[in-house]
Amino acid sequence: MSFLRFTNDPFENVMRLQRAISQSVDQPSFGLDWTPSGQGLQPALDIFEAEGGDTVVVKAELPGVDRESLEIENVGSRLMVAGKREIPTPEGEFRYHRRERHGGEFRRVFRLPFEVDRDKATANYSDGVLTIRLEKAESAKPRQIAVKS
Amino acid sequence: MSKAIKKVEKTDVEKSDETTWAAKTYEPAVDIWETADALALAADVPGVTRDKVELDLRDDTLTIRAEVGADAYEGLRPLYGEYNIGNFYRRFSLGEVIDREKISADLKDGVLTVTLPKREKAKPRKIVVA
Repeated sequence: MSFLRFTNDPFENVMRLQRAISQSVDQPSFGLDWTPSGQGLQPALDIFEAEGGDTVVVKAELPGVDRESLEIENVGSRLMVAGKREIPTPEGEFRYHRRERHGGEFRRVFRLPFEVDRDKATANYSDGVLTIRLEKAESAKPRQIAVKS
Repeated sequence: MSKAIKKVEKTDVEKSDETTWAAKTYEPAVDIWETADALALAADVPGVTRDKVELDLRDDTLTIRAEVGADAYEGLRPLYGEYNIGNFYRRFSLGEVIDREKISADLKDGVLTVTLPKREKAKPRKIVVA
């Protein structure tokens, strides 16, 4: 595979390989498309379909994320979700016994199973869960074409 | 890709010794810190509403149970998954003597915060040598 350039970072190599494989498959794929560089978090996503497959629902568990920092962008069948989670520092003098929660910025870009109608897209953040509802674009729906005699 | 990226993963409860839930159970990620007057705890419990949190302090064991509503997932067919939906359960042994009357808890955006004030006699006291 001459188009692959390997670096010292084994993780990066795996990501490149994964990208190359998904690009070489001509069937439209969806799901994880691109992983960010830089620092931060990689929150987990779930993707569902509803209403006979014409609606796609993306959910991400994002506890304690600053609502104002949430950014959602859509181009065609691609969706980007970004935001920031800040863990407030306790007031006064304190000592940590345990630290398992992490703050930071995150950015995920992924592909949806079809192009979506961005005017009908809705997003909601409640109880620490982000839910994005997207409807299939009219242009992506199958259409019967009548044969004129 | 930088090593600084932290993948957010849930931890399965290894001994769910007393749950009778049909759903999966996870251990919430927690921060615990201590100040002069109190122990405080923050736990990530995304998808949990206020009425579904149960806190129990018995002897020196604090138990957190939080249930995730399944309603939000009704009518949805999974296409791609990186996380599973489940309830949260975790137990802690508290080394400090807690004033149980003064325990307070808050839930906001899927983060549960619990403040456990120490009992008067457990607080450090300066003894002045006359």
